[in-house]
Order: sequence, then structure tokens, then C-alpha cells
Amino acid sequence: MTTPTEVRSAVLAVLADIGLEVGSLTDDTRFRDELDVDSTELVEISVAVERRLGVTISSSDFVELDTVGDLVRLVSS
Amino acid sequence: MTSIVITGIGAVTPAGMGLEPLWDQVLSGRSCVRRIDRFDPGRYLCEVAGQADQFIAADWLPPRLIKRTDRFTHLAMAAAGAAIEHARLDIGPGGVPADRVGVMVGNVLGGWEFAERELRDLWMSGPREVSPYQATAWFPAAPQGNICIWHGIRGRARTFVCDRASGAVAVLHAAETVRRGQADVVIAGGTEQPLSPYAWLCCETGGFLARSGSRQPDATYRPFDRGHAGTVVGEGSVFLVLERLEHAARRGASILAELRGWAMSTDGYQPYYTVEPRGDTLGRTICRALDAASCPLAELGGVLADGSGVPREDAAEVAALQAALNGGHRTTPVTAAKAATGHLLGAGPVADLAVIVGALARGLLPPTANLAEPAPGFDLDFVRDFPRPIPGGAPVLSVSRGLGGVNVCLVVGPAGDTDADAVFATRRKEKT
Repeated sequence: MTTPTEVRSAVLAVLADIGLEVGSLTDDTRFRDELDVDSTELVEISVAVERRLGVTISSSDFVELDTVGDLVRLVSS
Repeated sequence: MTSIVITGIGAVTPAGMGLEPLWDQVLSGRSCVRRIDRFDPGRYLCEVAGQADQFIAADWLPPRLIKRTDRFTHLAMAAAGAAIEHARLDIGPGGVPADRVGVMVGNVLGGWEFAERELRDLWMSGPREVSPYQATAWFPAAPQGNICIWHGIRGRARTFVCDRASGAVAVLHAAETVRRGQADVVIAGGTEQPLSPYAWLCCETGGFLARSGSRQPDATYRPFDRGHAGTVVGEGSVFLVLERLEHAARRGASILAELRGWAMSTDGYQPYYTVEPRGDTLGRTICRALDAASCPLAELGGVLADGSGVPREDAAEVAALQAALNGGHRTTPVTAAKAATGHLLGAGPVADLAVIVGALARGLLPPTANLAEPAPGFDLDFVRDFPRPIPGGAPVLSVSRGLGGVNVCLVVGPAGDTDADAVFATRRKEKT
């Protein structure tokens, strides 16, 4: 079982890997509006999180992701 | 008639970054073609190419953009950005309105370095291993889209895929777009990155590549020479900024040269991978372009020929020039620039236009690299070994050709008091 804290640091590591500045990220940071992440990059993020944590994220779920916290909660559930 | 002028040039070529190294390379009469080291070329007929090794994408573009695009887009974004900088063009509020700026791009192959890797992963490991960026990284219009997004350009944008004439068609369409008032400024150019195995195979089966081992890479591409045996290609991107003279003057831009006239045609000859052997259609197109430029033969300063080095294409081009120059062919100097860097395919004709702008600024027509002895019957006044002076004010004709005889002829002249320093000035774009 992965704890939410572990999930959160894994998600941040993924976001850092793809070139985002993670130092100032909070759970409320919005992918599209604040990080300029588009739907294609969101696919890249989702696949990378799946690989790192061995989970499966359905495409209908990740297209609705709005914030970093949404992603952490989705993977933790 | 509205005057169309060139106010910016950006070039990334095997000769280096900017117009100056490209001009110096061409003027030297030597070629920087070398053995390919991006992949193992040993299993291909042609093992040599022009490599733009000085271009490091990370120096110009942020990592999040690099990872989602192919190198042919990186080259284009660097060259287009440099052209915009050179022209001191501000786009958007306070500058030229974004919907009055256009982008026209010529490309032949698309982004195969990226695509080959992803398709290998698709077949070896399955669909989930394919980058989500594959679809948008590969296609030939990717550079156009990324240039528009990066610079906030919202005007007319097009990509032309017409074999080796693609870049010339892009510039011609840009000039007509400006002349018709459909845009105030157009960023027009071409880009190509053929140095990946599948793209290289396409060039090989296209039938225009020189067969070569690696013994003398820089002597392989020999336009009009009796040893001509095909084209050597290279990677690179060259962009120009085009606008109406009054528009350029109003915003205080330096006028580098004037695009005086142009014409385009297709041989419609069969089989489709050849060209009309006697060059009749090309000859008429040259005349139409000179007419459009109001340039009598006697005033033409010279010709920058296509010079593909494919024997049948060289022969057809020489026949066309002999007919069009109407006996004046013994006194009108003819040269070719592409052997100095390799033919940059989609960017090749635009590199030629940039070389012409350099030639007009320096008043010199460069010699043709590797043209030691013209093939029998090639009765033209070729510029060999040493540059030739261009009479002041005389325009130069550019000829560009693609598979099946796509012909584009453009006439470029100096713009009155062109300042040579302004032509060669490069302001390096800061990393963003």
C-alpha cells in the first residue's frame, strides 16, 4: 500500500522529470491554467505516473484532472 | 505594382548558425559535406550529407518544447526566430497585429527521427509505449504550427510539400499573400532533417541521391560537372521575413533585398519522377519570371541555378537556361550554391535566396563547388573557382526544381541603398 505522501512525492518526481518547476507547486496548482499543460502532456504525465507507481489510470479520469491534488487523490484512491 | 522586400533572414545550415557562415562557405567554393555520423550509413548507397552539427536545440528551445517535437521543427523554430529578430519584428500589441502576420513553410519529409523511434516502440512493445506527441511531432505542418504558437501568430499559415521546390513555393506564396494584402508580413522558409535511416531510405529510393562511398565526401555533389552523379542532401532551415516596401519603411525596418518577380509551373512530364528533358517549360518559366520582374536579359546579373547534380536534371536545366537566355547565355554568369552545404531539400531553395541576398550585398556571385569541368554540351558561362562581380543594381535569378518538374523561378534584386552590415547582422536569440 502506497501512502498519500509517497504518492505525492512520486507525482512531483514525475512532474519534475517532464520539465516542470516543482518547487512552488501546491495541491491547488492547476495543470492547464497555471502550468500550461495541455491534454497531450497530461497523457504523458498519466502514463509516467502509472509506470512509476504500477497503477492504472483510465483515460476518462485523467482528462478531468484539474489540479496536482486531483492527480494525487486519483492515484491514492 | 507593390514592391515586396526581404527584411530578415534566419539560417541554420551545415555551414553554421546565421547567414554569414553560409555565405562564407558558398563563397569559398568548397563543400562542407561529410560522412554521416548520426546513424550508420554503411548500408545505404549514399554515405555523405551536410550536418548542421553546430545547432543544439537546447540552446534555443525549452525542454518541454523539445521533447514534443522533432528536430526538423527545432531547426525551423531557431531559423524563423532568428529571422524575426533580424527583422526587428514585433508581433502583437504595439507591433504588427498577430492576425496580419503569416507563416509559410516548405518541407519534404516530415519528422522521421522522432517517428522512427516511436513506430519501433509501437511494434516492439505495443501502443502504450508510443509517445503521445508522435501524431503532432511527425507531420510536415508541425513547424508551421509551432512557429505560430511560439510567436503568437494568427494570420494565414500554410505548409507546402512539393519535393525539392517546397521552400521556393512557400516563398512565392508568401510574396503573393503580401501582394494581395492578405497579410502585412509573412515569415517564409523551409526546413528539413533527412538524417534518420527511414528518411534517408526515402531519399535513396527517390532516385536523386549520389551514390557514394565515404572516400571524398566533399567532392561527391558536382552540379553541372562532367562527373555529376546525383544530389547530396543536408539538414537545415532558412527563413525570410517578407513585407511590402511601404510597410517595412513605416516600421523603420532595414531593407535587405527586393523580391522583384516570380513564376511557377509544372512540366507535367511522364514518368513522374523525371523532368521534361529539353526544359521547355522551365525555359518559359524563367522568361515569365524575368518579365514579371521587368528585368531585360541584358540587366540580369546572374543565375543561381537549381544544380541538382542529377545528370538528366542538370541537362534539362542547362537547356532551359540556354533557351531562356536567348544567346546571352555566354555572357550571363550561372552558378549553383547547394553543393557547398548539400541540398537542404525543403530549405534548399530558401538557402539559395539567402545566398543571393548575401551576393547582392557583397556584389559577388560565388563559384560552384566541385564544378571542375562542365559536362559536354553544357554551354553556359559557369562561375568556377573564383567569385565574379555582379554589376551594381543587377538582380539575380533563382531556379528551384522538384520531382516531376515543379519549377519555381524568383528574381531578387538589391534594395537601393542596402547596407551590407545589416544583411549579415545576426542577433542571437536568447534562450527562453
